[in-house]
Amino acid sequence: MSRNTAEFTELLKPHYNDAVKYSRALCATWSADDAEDVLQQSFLLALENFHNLKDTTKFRSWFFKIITTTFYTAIRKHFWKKFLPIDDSRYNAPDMPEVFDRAEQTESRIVLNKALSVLSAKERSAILLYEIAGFSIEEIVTIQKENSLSAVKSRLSRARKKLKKQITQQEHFSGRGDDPYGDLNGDLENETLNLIAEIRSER
Amino acid sequence: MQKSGQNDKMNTDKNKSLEHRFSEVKQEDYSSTFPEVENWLYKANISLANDKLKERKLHRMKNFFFANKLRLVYTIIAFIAVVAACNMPVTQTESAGQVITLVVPKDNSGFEAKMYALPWMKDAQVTQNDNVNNGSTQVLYRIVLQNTSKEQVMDYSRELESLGDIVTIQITPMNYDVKRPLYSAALNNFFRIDIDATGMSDEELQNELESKLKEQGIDMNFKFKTGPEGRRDLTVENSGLDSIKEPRSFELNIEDDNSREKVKLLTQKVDPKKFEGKTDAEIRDMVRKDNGKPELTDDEIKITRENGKVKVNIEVNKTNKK
Repeated sequence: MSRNTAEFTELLKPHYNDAVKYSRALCATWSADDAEDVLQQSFLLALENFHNLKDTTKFRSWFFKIITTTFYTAIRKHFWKKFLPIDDSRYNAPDMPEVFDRAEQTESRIVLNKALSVLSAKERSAILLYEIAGFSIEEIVTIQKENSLSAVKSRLSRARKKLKKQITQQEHFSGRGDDPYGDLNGDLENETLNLIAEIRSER
Repeated sequence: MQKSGQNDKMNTDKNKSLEHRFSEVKQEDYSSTFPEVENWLYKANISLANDKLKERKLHRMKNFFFANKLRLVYTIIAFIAVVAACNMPVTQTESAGQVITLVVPKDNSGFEAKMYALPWMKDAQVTQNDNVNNGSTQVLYRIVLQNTSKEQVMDYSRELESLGDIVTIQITPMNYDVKRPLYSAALNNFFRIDIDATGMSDEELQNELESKLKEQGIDMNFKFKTGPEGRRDLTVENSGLDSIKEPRSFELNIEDDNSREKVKLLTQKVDPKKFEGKTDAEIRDMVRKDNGKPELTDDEIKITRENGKVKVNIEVNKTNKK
């Protein structure tokens, strides 16, 4: 760590808000604590490897790449955490202060979060990098370590389609006062309604 | 056309709905949390530096073992090979003494009396048998001399021949094989004696030392004398080298009240002809060269000549004060 923290925070400041929003949206369906864990790991990883960043003009894409990679790793650990008590932090740093709001989320945000949870990790990260962080498709290719623009383009298109479908579905049920995910207990009526909503959204 | 228009409208609505939701997320503002996070980053950086330091040490160790893993394997193999080789049993032939077999006519002129009068005969075991050979009666003596070197027995044999009347005389070595690990074989010819002489009288120390040496087959006489200043002087009265069958070396450590005496004795087989026709100065030079000790003075290399036999003693007196 040849460069100092001051330089790091100086470069981080203009991108901080976007980075936190992107991080929270990535971990949309996770608890605030789990989402903060991902953000904390990203900050520490970035701070630790800051000396490797040669061109500081690329700080933004470099840092978002770290968040994205940390999120991919966290997904794997998140799965195993259900079964094993894993201590996933390799750092002994003090805990990061609370960043995310613990209050109940708005109806609109809940709908988006549920829709995002349907996407794969790569689709979710691609759409959020484009929509929330404002990266171009070329930049997303670098961040996601892809080889072609078309791969990201089709990923974005797929993600958008899935999101629209999910949101429409949810809006339809919320109009009827039902929750499409709330009571999937094998009930024939619910399953039929789900099927109708799917057919409608595909038309 | 109407249906297509409806679809377009539905898609636009959907897009609007998605964009609307994303714009809501974009409007979220976390900027107020930055100062706290910034402070935390400073603290975290210190902690990271400490972690890095610990990790670097571990890393260096890991790298060392990783980079030298071949050397490490070779070292372990070499070590195992050395241990295995040291424990390999080897057969050593050791001498228990010599036997002189001699035949004299029965009607000799007092040979037996003259033989028993020889000083070294008191340590010998003698058996005798009468034999009849070509009509004349002969006596066969078998003289067993334990812990005696071949050179000594050759001298004894010459002494017996000088008594006259001997028909035949023969020297046979009494050898036996011993199997022992290599390291034990290497150490067999070297031993160490440690004595704590604190509170011992000169006589007690002398007896203790002589008995310990006797246990190892070395018959040496020492004399201890305590001077007026309380210092104990050790004198080797009789080196006892003649009693040593094979070259053996020992280290003697005597710890006294306030001093430590170290005596090192190294014996080696030397061809008696090596010193033949050599002057004392030439012998001393040979001794210095052979032992790699050019610092030895003339006084420390004692040379005695008896009946053409040359005896060399190196006497180094060293006392290390604590």
